[in-house]
Amino acid sequence: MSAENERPLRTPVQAVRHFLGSNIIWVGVILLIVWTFLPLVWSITASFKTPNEVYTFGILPEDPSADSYRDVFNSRNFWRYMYNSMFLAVISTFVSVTVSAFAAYAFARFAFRFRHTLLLLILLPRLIPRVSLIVPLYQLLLSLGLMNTRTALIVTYTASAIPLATWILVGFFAALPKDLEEAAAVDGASRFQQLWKIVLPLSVPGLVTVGVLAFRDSWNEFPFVLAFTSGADQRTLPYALFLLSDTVGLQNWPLVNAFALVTIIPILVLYLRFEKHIVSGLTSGAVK
Amino acid sequence: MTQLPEMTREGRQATGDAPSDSTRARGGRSALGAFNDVTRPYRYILPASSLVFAVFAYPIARGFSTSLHIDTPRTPDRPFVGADNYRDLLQDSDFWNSFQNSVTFVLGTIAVGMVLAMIFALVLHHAPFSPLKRGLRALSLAPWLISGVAAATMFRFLFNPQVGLIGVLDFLPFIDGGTWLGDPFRAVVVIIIANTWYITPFSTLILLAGMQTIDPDLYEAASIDGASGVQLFRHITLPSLAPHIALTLVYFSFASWNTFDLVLTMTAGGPGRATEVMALYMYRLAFTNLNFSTAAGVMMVLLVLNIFFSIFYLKSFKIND
Repeated sequence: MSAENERPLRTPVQAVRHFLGSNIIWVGVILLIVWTFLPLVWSITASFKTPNEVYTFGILPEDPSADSYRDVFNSRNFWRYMYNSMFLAVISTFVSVTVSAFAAYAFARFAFRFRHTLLLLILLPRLIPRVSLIVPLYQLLLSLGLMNTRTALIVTYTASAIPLATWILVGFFAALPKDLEEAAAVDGASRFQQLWKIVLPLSVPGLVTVGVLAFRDSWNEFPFVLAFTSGADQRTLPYALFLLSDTVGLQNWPLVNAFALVTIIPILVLYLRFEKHIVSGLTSGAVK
Repeated sequence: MTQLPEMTREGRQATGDAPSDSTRARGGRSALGAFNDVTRPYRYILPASSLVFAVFAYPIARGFSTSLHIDTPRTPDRPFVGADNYRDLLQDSDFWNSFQNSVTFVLGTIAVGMVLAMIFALVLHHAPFSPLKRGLRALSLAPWLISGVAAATMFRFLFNPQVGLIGVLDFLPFIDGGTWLGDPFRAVVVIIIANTWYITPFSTLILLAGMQTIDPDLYEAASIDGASGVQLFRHITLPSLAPHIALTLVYFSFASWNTFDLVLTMTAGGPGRATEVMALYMYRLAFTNLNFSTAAGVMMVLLVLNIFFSIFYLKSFKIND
């Protein structure tokens, strides 16, 4: 280490500055990790403690126990809420991806009147905050007799996923070369067959991206469940967690934390599985 | 939400070179076939557009109409009152309280979030070792996956002086073991921190995407001319990122003006009305006071604010574009 000998002597302030200068990236990495994971880690360790132990401020549980998780799984209606969340997310994801794929294909491949106006109208809702629609949607659902139904949630979740999904898929479809479809058309493939057998299989990364986005939105949705439903038959995990953490009196903190973490697991698994697609899909969808 | 102009440009291009359907039609097509070809795009778009119409367009029109009538359980005939509801709103101190809370909340989130998002994007862009870089990028999105209710639950726990991390840190200045969510000023600080934690990852991603598009030659050329790291950031990174910074601002402000889950779960607007942001105020008007017409007025105000700020940010950054 010849450079070592050539180093000039430094005052402590200079030494600190030098250290920061050459290691600033690591300071940033640690800041990023601490900021992002501290709340999660604090919650995870607490979920393995006993209800009284959380008051002792130990960082790690003395005698880790999964009791809280057992209590979550055995809690009243837990599996029903889980089923509702899953059912709503799967159905609305499936429907929104399907109808968005058709719309996106039309925008990417056909020339027709009002094309730009229609595309604009489908994309415009991205400027509209969903929660603000709670009042007129409530009135609408009431007059249609759709209060307290799963249909109400499926329709609203599906529709809210369409603008972003259509936008991302138009980009995907437009980037595909047209040669394959034209060749298939010569062989007599209908437009529907071209979409179904050629375009969709080539767009799996895009479909996965919009699918996970739609799933995430409906899995985490809260205001509509709160306002449009009143029975355990329609209510979802976020609502159950809200009720649990809204109780007055002494909180069972390990249970609350375990419940919160359990609601995250399905979407986390899905995300980690498709992370690569999602990050690039999101980036192109948000930035273009 | 903001890429519409670009989209239109791209769309026009696609239209230009799209072979028209009639050139594909082979001999002997029936009139029905031609009709099918003409209506096909509309048929493909119909399901998506009807859903969007039913859940967005119609409710907005209906909400606007509601805001011009009196619509409460005691007025079944819904008399038309014009702008009266808006006048009432402007004279309601609770409305101005919620407006002020939202402004504080939005500005606080933008101030803290913008700095963090920029730091994190730089970190993710410059992190050494590609596995570390990839791993950090994937994991840094974790808060974005979580529901507002779950994030709020965690932050309530974190800032509870009896059980939370804040209780461990009480040797630090300003942290005295006192209540956080029960104190009108501190509660605002906590919801801003929680909101920033919740929505910064997506902004980081937008800025990171922008950084990846900057031509590395620019940095090299400037470095040869003796520019320091700070100068590189100030004169190359920042100006090149202008459109992405604008998008980040749009996203931050959009997500914060309309925050509902997070604040409802953490404070329910309390203590008193110290954290009652506009979406919460609207919800209380409609579902506690059953005053749908005034709530619809708040909805219209929220919509206008959102659109105004989005356009404002994008316009003010277009100059450098």
